[in-house]
Amino acid sequence: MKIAYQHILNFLEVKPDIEELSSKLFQLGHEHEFDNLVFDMEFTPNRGDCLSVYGLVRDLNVFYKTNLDIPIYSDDLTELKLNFINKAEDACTHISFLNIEIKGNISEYKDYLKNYFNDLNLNRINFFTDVSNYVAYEMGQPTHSYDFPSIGDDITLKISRNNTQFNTLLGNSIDLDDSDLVFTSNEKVINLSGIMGGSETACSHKTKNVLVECAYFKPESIIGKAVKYNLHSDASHKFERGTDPKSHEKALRRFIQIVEDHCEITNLGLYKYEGPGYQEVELDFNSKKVNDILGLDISEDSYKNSLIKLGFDVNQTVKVPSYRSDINHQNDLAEELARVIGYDNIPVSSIKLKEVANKFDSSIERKIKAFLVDHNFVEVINSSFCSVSNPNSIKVDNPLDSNREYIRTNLTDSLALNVIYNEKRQKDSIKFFEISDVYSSKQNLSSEKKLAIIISGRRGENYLDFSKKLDKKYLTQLFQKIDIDVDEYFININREQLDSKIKTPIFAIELLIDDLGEEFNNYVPINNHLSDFNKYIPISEFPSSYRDLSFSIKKSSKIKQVINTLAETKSEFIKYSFMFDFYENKQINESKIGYRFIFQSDNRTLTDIEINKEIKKITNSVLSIESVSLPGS
Amino acid sequence: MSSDKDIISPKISIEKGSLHPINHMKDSIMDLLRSLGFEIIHGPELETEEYNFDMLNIKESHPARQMHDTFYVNNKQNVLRTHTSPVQIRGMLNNKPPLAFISGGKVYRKDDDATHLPMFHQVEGIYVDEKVTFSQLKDLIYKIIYSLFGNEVKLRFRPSYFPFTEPSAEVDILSEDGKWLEILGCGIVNPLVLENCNIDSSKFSGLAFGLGVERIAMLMHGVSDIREFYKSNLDFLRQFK
Repeated sequence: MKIAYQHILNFLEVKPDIEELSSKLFQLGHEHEFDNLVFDMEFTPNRGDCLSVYGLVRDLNVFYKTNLDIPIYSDDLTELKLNFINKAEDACTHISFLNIEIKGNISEYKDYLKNYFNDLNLNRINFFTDVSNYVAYEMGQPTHSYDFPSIGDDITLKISRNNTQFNTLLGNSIDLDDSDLVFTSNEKVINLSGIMGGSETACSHKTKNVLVECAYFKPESIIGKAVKYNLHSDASHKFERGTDPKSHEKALRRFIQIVEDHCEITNLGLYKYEGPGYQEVELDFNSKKVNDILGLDISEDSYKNSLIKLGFDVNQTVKVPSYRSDINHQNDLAEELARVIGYDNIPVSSIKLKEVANKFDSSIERKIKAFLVDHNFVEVINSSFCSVSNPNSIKVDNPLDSNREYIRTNLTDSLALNVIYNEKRQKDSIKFFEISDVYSSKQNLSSEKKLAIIISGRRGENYLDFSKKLDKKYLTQLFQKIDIDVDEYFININREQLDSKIKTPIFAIELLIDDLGEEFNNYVPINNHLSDFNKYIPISEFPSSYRDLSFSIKKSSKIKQVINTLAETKSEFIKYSFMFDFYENKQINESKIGYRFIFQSDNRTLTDIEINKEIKKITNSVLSIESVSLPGS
Repeated sequence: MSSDKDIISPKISIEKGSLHPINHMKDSIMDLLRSLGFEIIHGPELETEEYNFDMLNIKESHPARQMHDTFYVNNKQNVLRTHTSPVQIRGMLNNKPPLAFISGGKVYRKDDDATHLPMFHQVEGIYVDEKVTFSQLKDLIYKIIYSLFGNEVKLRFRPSYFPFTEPSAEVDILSEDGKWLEILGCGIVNPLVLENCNIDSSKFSGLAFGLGVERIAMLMHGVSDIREFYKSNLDFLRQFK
């Protein structure tokens, strides 16, 4: 909600600068940003009472002397004869209707009304709607203004019938259902309660006779309706967060005052409906309890003064004002005191928990992960949602989209997609694993924790593994190291069902974590896997290219220099490099080195000319080393 | 001295794989909390509304329970848990105070953009004993944040709202560019929640806190788009060795 800085200052006797005010608002728990002297407030859902200038200033009263006496119409009001029937007392316990008739035209708005529109950059609609909006902004109570003559003989509040058509004042037509609370007149819906009025009874510039509805709706009866019909309004937001059931007469008297400030009123009448429902909350005044919750030692007087400044009536008990529906027990009062003191000003007191027997997690899951990472596997986390179902799949009732309609029943399908994704990015050595719960509709929803591993391509990017393929034998031998036979867990991956032209076979296993266990207990990780947190270097989405270079070296004493020269070669476009071949011919005392360079730009696709230029530099550098030549030259 | 005839094959450094940065972060946070005295407990990702909402004082009218915020399954009989708090409920129901539990794992909300995903990770903790206070909660939070971000980091506590804690707070740290960044939520366990778990709230009180793992990982690693974590891109994942 946007609130202008100046509009707050109008209620404060001392005028703090905007930075100071911002800091106080944060202390009170009112998160916001500000720009051009306008606060963009983000109130927590329990503080519907702050959704107005008046409400916010009530909270600021703990820091500043405030003047909350808004000018209101103070004369007696005659009773309005209205045929109102409330068939939804549970949802609406308090409601008032005010009839105002005016004479003449409104030529110009008074400064306070003008400033509201100008300071918040809002558009005017028509006089009565503008006043309605202003009262909601200033006092927090939404009202709806009907063009009175366009309403029929009665007004009824009730639950709608299914498939009832309603034309909103924004001009769209919606089909209501039997969960919607509506106002009807002559059996026709004139207002979707708490959300938006109808087009047929809306005020216009010509309206001289208005009926202002001012209601309290229980949040439960309003929540979800604005989203359901995509009809978000300031009123719906306020009603969802809770309004003050006891504020109606003051809000309507303020409404009259504003109208009177602008034109002559010829007729006034007020209809009030107050059903059962509102019960004043009264809590013990117990400063010890509140101190115990916070870990403080605040005096009774100090605690009492804090509550009084926030509008509580404190004597032997604490009477909670009607606008604070969020206060129901001592912990709520403790939070009030903490806000006044400032959370940051509450001293820290030492906490010491009993030590747990084993300070570090030595679970099988952690050991499995360590084993796989030690063997150059990369862990992935895939989405639990998928588009493909099987007879045991659990369907999401309200999926984000059709691609995420089911909860996956296996991990391998996602891992296969991970392989394809990386192959498309020129990766030819892929070793992934994932550990996750999977769910099935069997036995009225059951879960299993599984490990899945997938491999494809070269075994590694070093000269010993470069020519070897990742295959079934590799995985089998890997798990034999810890005496586990994984033969029965292999899953056939059919490339034809994947979006891939590459023919390299893919191998995968998937098994229950519970099927692994004791074998991993004795595994001692080679690496410390929970080490530092690297800063991430953004990855390029442009294609990479590689070039292989081979060199013959006659003098073995120069091998190290050649390798170092190649390894230390850096440039803007070299993503990484590795030695994929090393061959020694002892008979002729000659070695051969094969080195691969992967090139990629962060912002474009590299041309052959650019890459060849880089290669030439590297080649020249290495060939300058004694006894090094290009094979065959 | 080696002669030209002694060819020594170059050494191969063992290539190490990598943990997923989110699990890495989650496990690091869990280890930290274990070292402070918390015990790990686990719970299901498919939950009942009772454990995910009702027991936590999240009333039927709360927006979080709407279909646009929560994933429902099994003809609305179950939800994909929206937080790891129901695990704490199970922990409190099955144990007597004093108790100190942490739980971590996947949680689900109906969001999908550069900073929110429908599936993300949380770590939550709860401590229930006699005379647990807000000032002790602050001590614990300082310990957690200093361990994660170093002792020099500036932090602030702001009042906030969670139905299951009262008072509730959000904690921000001051970033290098002078902006306050929200790091975690915490508070004193709402006595109604203790009573729901058959814990006498006149005798015991508790503190609770929760961290979004992705948020911390994004800050620590400098990742600006949360979706990067879940593309399974080798160039990305191999950076977190």
